[in-house]
Amino acid sequence: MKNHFNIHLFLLITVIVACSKPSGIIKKDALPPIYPDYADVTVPVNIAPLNFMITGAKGLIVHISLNDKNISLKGRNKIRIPAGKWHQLLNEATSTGQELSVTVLAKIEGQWYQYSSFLWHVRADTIDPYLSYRLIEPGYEVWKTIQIAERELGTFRERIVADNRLIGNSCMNCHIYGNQDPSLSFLHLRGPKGGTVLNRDGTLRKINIFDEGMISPAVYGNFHPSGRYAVYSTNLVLPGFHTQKGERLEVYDQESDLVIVDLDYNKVIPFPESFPVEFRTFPVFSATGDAVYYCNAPRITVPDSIFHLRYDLLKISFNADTGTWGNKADTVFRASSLGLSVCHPKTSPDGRYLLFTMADYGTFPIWHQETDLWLLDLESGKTSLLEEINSPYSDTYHSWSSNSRWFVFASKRDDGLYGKPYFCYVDREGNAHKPFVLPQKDPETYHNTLKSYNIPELSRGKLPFGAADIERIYNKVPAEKVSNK
Amino acid sequence: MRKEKVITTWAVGILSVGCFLFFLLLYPYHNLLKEQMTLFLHSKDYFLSYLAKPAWLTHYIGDLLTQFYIHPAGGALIVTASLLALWLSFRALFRAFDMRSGIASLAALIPAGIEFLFHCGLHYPLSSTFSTLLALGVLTVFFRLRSNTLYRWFFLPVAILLYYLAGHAIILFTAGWLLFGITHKIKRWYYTILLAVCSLSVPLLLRTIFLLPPGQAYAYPVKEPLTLNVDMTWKKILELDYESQRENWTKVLLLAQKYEMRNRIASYYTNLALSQTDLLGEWLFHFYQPGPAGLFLPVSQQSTPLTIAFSNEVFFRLGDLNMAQHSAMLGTIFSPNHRSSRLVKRLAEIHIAIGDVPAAGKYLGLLDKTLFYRKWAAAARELLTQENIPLREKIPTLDTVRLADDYITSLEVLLESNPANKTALDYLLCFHILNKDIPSFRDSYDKWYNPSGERIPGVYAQALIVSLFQEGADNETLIRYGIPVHVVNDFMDYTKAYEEAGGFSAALRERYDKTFWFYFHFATFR
Repeated sequence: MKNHFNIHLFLLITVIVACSKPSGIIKKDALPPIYPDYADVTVPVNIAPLNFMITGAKGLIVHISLNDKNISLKGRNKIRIPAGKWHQLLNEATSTGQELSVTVLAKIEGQWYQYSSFLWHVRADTIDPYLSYRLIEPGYEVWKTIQIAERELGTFRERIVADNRLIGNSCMNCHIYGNQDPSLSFLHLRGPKGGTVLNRDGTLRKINIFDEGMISPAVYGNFHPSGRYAVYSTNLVLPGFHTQKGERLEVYDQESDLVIVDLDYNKVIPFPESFPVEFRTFPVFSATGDAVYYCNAPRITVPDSIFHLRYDLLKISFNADTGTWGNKADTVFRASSLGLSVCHPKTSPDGRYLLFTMADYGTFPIWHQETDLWLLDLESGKTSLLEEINSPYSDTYHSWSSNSRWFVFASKRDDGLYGKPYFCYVDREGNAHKPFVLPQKDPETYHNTLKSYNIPELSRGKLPFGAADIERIYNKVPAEKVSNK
Repeated sequence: MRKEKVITTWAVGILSVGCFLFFLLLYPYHNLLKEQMTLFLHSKDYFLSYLAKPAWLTHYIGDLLTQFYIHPAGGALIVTASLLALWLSFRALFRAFDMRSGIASLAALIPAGIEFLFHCGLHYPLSSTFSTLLALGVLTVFFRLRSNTLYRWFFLPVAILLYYLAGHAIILFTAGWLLFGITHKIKRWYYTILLAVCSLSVPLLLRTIFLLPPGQAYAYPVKEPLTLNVDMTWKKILELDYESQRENWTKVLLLAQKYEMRNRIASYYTNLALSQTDLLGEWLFHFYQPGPAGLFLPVSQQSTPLTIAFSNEVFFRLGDLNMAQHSAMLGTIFSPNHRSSRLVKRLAEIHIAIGDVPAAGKYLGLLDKTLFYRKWAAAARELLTQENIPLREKIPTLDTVRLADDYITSLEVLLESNPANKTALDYLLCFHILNKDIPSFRDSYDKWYNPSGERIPGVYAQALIVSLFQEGADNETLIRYGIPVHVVNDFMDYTKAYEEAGGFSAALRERYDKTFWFYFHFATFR
C-alpha cells in the first residue's frame, strides 16, 4: 500500500515537473514581441512593475535576473511582476550598478520559443512620483467626457481629480504644475461658470482670465518659478479638417498673443504693443524666470496658407520685480529655416535644456504624425532631434521631472490615434534613452481603452484637491476678475 | 380560485407572446440600435471598469445580455422575459401587501406596462429592468423576515449594498421597505422614516466617489432621459437606418415611399439609397427634401447623439474617410456608453480602406474580444494585406483644410482626386440643386459631368434648362447639352402654368410637384 502511494506521488510530481518545464524549446535570435515594448528601456528606481504581455501566447515564462538573483514568473499571455520583489530588485540594481536581464519564453501556436534576452537599465535618478493627465477620447473639437487623473508612478493607483460630468459637461483644459509642485497648479474650466482654477498651497481660486483687449480667455500657460506670475497665450482657435488620408485635424489660430498675469493682484500684463501683429503662442518662463520663451510666426491667411505657417522659437525678457516685459525678442531657434514649425517649448528645471516639438507646419502637433521631439542645450546652443525616442507618429506634450533627468511625453506610436505617456531618461551628457510607456497593472489596458492620455505632467507630490473640490468651485464660487489697469 | 389562476396564466401568456411578437416583428429596430450602441468586451479589464460605478452588477448583466439584441429574436425574448419576471415580482410584492391574487395580478401589469414603454425608448438600458428586479427580490426577502429588529437593522447596510449592485433600485427598495414597515412591521414610524431618508441620501453621499452629478446618481444605470411611448417615427427612421447598413437600397426606397416621412434623417437615408442605386439625379424630388440638409447630417455641438452616429454613413460611401472617421469617433463618444460596436466596426473599416494597419488593428483588437463581432474582425484582418480595396480609389489624394460643414469643398476635392466618383458628383450636383444655386450647379455640371451620350437624369436636365434659359441659350446649345425635347416642352408648359397660377402652388402641385422647377419656386428652408 505504501509502495503504491509512493509510485502515485512520484508520477504526480513527474507530471507537475513535466508540465512546468517546457520541452522542445526553439531559440529565436530576436527580441520577444512583448507589449508594451519594454525591451532595453531605461527606468527609474521608483517606477511601478513593467507588466507586459504577448498577444496570442498560450504560455509565458519570464526570468528576471540580477547577478545571482532570479525571479521566475509564469502567465498565460500576461506577466504581472509582484510589486515587493520588483522594488527590491530595482533597489539592488541601483545599489550594485547592474542591469536587470529579462529572458522570455513564450508558447505560441503550440510551440515554445526562447527569445533573445534584453535589459532593463535601472537609474538611481528618481522620477517625480506623480503624473497627471487628461483622459479624453481623441474626438477632435467636441467632447463628452473628460477627466483629469493623477497616477502614482510607483504603484498602479490612479485618482480622478476632475471630471467634467460634475461640472455640466463643460470642457476642461490641461492641468499644469508650477515647478512640478503639487501645491502650485492650474487648470482651465470652460462653460458658463468656468474660469482658471488656481491651486496655491491647496487653496483653490477661480479666476476669469479674460479682459478687454485680450483675444480670448487664457489658453496655453506656464508658471513663473516664484508662483506669483503665470504667462498665457490667448488664441482665437479654429478647427479644420484635412481631406487627404492620414491627415486628420488641423487646429490653427486666427489670432494669438501673450499675456502675463500677476496672480497676487489679478492684473493682466499685456504683451508690448510695440511689437508687430504676429501669431504668438505656447509661452513658458525660463528656469530662472527672467525670460519667456514662445513660438512666433508671421501673420498669414489661414487656413488658405496653413501649409506655410511655421513658427520660430523666440525669447523675450521679463522683470519679475517690476512685472514688465522686455522690449526686444531674440530668435532662439529659427525652425522655419529648416521648413519646420516649433511648438510646446519646455525648459528643464535646471535651466540647461529646452525641449520642444517640431512639425512640418502649423500649431497643433498632436494630429501631425511627423511631430518629433527636439532638445536644445542652452549651454552649448546645440539643437538635436531626439532620434532615439521619436516614432513615426506624433510625439509631443512633454513635461520635465523636477531633477531634469526625466521627462514624460504623449506619443501616439502604437496606432497613430491614442496618445499614451512615455518616460524618457536624459543622462548627464544630454543623451536621451529609449522611452517606456506608463506601466499598467493589466498590460492589456491600453488595448481596451478608447481614451487618450493627454498632456501628461509630472509632479513631486499628490495634489491637494479632488473632483468634488473642482465641482464645488465650478458651481459655488464666483470667478475673480482680472484687469490690466 | 383555480379558474382565476387559469385566466391569469392565459392572459399573461397571451400578453407575453404579444410582447415578444411586438419586439420581433413590429418594433425590433430600437433593440437593434441598443446593441449597436454598446460594445461588450469579454475581458477582465472591461469587467473591472463596471466596479467604478453604482449598479455594477445589473449594469454588467444588462450589457452582457444586450449583446444578444443583435438578433431581433434575441432582443424580443430577453425583453419579454424581463418584463414577465418583473410582472411576477411585482405581483409577489403586492401579494405581500395582502392584496388579493387577482387584483395583485392586474396591479402588477401597471409597472410592467410602464417598463414596456420604457423599453420602447431609444436608450433605455436592460440593466435598469434588472435593477428593479433586484430591488423587488431583496424586498421579498425582507418581507419574509420575522424579526422586526433584523428588518430594521439590516435595512441600511443592504440599501448601500443594493445601490452599489443595482443603482436606482435603492429608491424602490426604500419605498417598499418603508411602506411595508409602517403597515406591517414597525410601530415607531418616525424612526422608519428617518432610516428611509438616510437610505435615500446614499446616492447623494456616494456620488463624489462614483463621479456622478446628483440626477444621474439616482438614475444610474439609466443615463439618458426616459421616454414613455411607442415612437413609430423613430421606428421608421431606425428601419431605414438598419436597411441602409445592410445595403438593402431598394428596400430603403420602398420604405421611404411607403412612409412618406417629412424628416431630415429619413431624407438622408433616402438620398443615400437613391445615390447607391444611381437614381439621385432622377428621383430626387419624388421624396421629401428639406433642402441641402437632407444630404448630410451635421456633426456639431447642436447635433443629437444619434444624428452624429448616423452621419458617417454618407461620408463613408462618398470616400471622404477623414470626415467619416470624424463622425464615427464622435458618434462613439456621444453614445450612452461611449462605446459602440457599430461605430468601432466602421472605424475599423475606415482604417482598412485607408491602409492604416496599426489604427485598424486597434479597433479589430477590440472587436476580437466581443462575442458576435470576432468572426467579422478575423475576416476583416485578412483585408489588411490586400491592395485591391474598392473604397480606396475614392479617397482624396489632394490635401486641403476645410470646415466640418464645408460639404462643397469636400465633394470637389473628392472629384478632383477621382472624377469617376459618381456618388460624389451626384451629391455635389444635388447639393447645388437643393440649395437652388443654379450658377454653382452649372459650373459643377460643366466641370465634372460627362454624359458621354447617355440620357441626362431628369432633375439635372430640369436644372440645366433653367440655367440655359437664364443665359438665353439657343436651340443649338440645348441640343449640345442633350436636353431631351420633352423636358424643353415641360419647362415651357410649367412656365406658362406658373405665370397663370399667379405664384400659387396649388394649381401646379399635381403635375409638377416632383420637379426641380416646383421646388425652386415653392420650397422654403426652415
